[in-house]
Amino acid sequence: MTHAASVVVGYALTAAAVLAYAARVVRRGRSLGRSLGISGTGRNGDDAEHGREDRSGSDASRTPPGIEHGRDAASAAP
Amino acid sequence: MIETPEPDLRQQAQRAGSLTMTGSVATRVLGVVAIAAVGVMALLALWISPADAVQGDSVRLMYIHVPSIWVAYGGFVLTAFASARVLWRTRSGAGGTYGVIADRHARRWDRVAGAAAELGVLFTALTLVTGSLWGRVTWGTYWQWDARLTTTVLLFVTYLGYLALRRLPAESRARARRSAVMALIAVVNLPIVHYSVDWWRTLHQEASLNLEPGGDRNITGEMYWTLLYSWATFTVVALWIGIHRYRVLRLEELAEEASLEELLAQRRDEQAAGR
Amino acid sequence: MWREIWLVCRKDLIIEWRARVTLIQIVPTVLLVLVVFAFALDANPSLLGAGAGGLFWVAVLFGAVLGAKRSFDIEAEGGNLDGLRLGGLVPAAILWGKAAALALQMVLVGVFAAAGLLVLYSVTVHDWLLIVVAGLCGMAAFAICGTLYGAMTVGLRSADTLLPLLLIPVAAPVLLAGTRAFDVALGTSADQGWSWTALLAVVLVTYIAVGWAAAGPLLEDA
Repeated sequence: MTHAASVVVGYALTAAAVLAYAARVVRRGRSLGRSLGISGTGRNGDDAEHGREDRSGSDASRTPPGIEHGRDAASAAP
Repeated sequence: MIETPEPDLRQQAQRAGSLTMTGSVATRVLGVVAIAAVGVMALLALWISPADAVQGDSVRLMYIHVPSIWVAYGGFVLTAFASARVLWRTRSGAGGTYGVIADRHARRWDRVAGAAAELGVLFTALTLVTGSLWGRVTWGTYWQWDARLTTTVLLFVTYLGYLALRRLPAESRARARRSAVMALIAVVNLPIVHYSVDWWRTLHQEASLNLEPGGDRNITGEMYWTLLYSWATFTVVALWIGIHRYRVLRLEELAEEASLEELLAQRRDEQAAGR
Repeated sequence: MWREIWLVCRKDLIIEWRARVTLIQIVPTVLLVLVVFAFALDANPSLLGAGAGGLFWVAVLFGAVLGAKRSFDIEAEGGNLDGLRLGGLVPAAILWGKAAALALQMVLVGVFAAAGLLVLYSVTVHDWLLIVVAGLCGMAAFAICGTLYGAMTVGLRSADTLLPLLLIPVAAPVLLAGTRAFDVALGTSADQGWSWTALLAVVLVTYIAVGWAAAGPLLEDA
């Protein structure tokens, strides 16, 4: 391998790895945001998929009455 | 009823997600700065700075190799600090319901630890790869059992293990504390690893030559400034990605809780229907 | 405190005595590793002799991974760990009791592995004292590491596959120092065997300190 080739490979690999990681982070964020219904760009289609969510994805619409804070499975499960 | 930890979590996420999913004005500005900095860095590192008299063009690998490991070290230091904070905020007696972290700060530090460790692993991997390339053209071999290389590869594997441990499903409190302990053990172990490997190599070989790209050779002013600038660039890029990763971790927690709520709601509906 | 440690240690040893997992599973595996190394090195006596110190420690490290796994398998079944904690044992007592039991079992493994070295690789020992001291320090260090990481992964679904990844890097200094010390004791190297043993002791003391600090966070809500 020539010196120049090693530099090209090194820079290309670095750029590719960082870009791939960043893309993965962003994609994961997008898909999570969409499924949580908190996306500003979310269209009605997204919300229709998750019928119980309104545009703002507020707590009240998601949580049925009786279970305000269902975080603690151990205590809330019957 | 147990008090909900971080009640404004969803609102926060909404606010953060109002532009894009994990973006905000600050991260957008940071992103533009990062991209511009990378552009300038490419010019400086590949064009303006001179080739080395001995190493030739391969010296340019130094401008990504050295900043990579600096950023990785920074990430691991941050992981350790955040882990100490997690342990402190969740110590016995400090409020916390069974299984779930109640403390908002502990949850935040836990995310910081996770995001920083991931970036650390990424940049350690890049350090190893670029170092190997440099070694191939300079020493004629991809690998040397040099103390620093050996320590770095052990560091890499250690934090891969840390990330693997973080991924395992568990209750949030146990998971956060367990990972925090592991991160701190890794930090305590690192000097021992470095010292023993160093001793191993120096006793059994003539002190190895200048094995670090750049090493202690006098570098010119342009090279020095390019290196420093590259380090700043890498830091900005890592920060940018890290902040996004932190927010994605928050969304992951939200999604976990949302699915739990959904399950509970289903359960409740079933019961109501059966009654 | 000492009494509680002894209780936990005795419990583990009694379970081992009844099930004999270390004796009839881990020890044979370690010996098998020694045999397999001979395959890898083409049963070349000079190569095996030169590498004997290192091969011993690699084989024992595999044994330690298995031992650590086993040590917490018996706690994961049926929520034993919860039982111990509910019984009023402090986390440190559980950790040190289990570490002590694991250390004793590792010494057993080490004795068999050393015997295997003498028989299979026909090494000659120049310094028995060095072997014994370095061996004991190394086994104790492995045991503490193994217990810490065993506690960290107890009850997790992929603990079996994760444990080696966590344990081997952290045990690397022990492997290195133990190998150097054994090489000197076996006469294959003119290194400073006792300095390496001192390093082993330093590592051991560090792990003991880490164990004290980590016992609470690891075991109180594992």
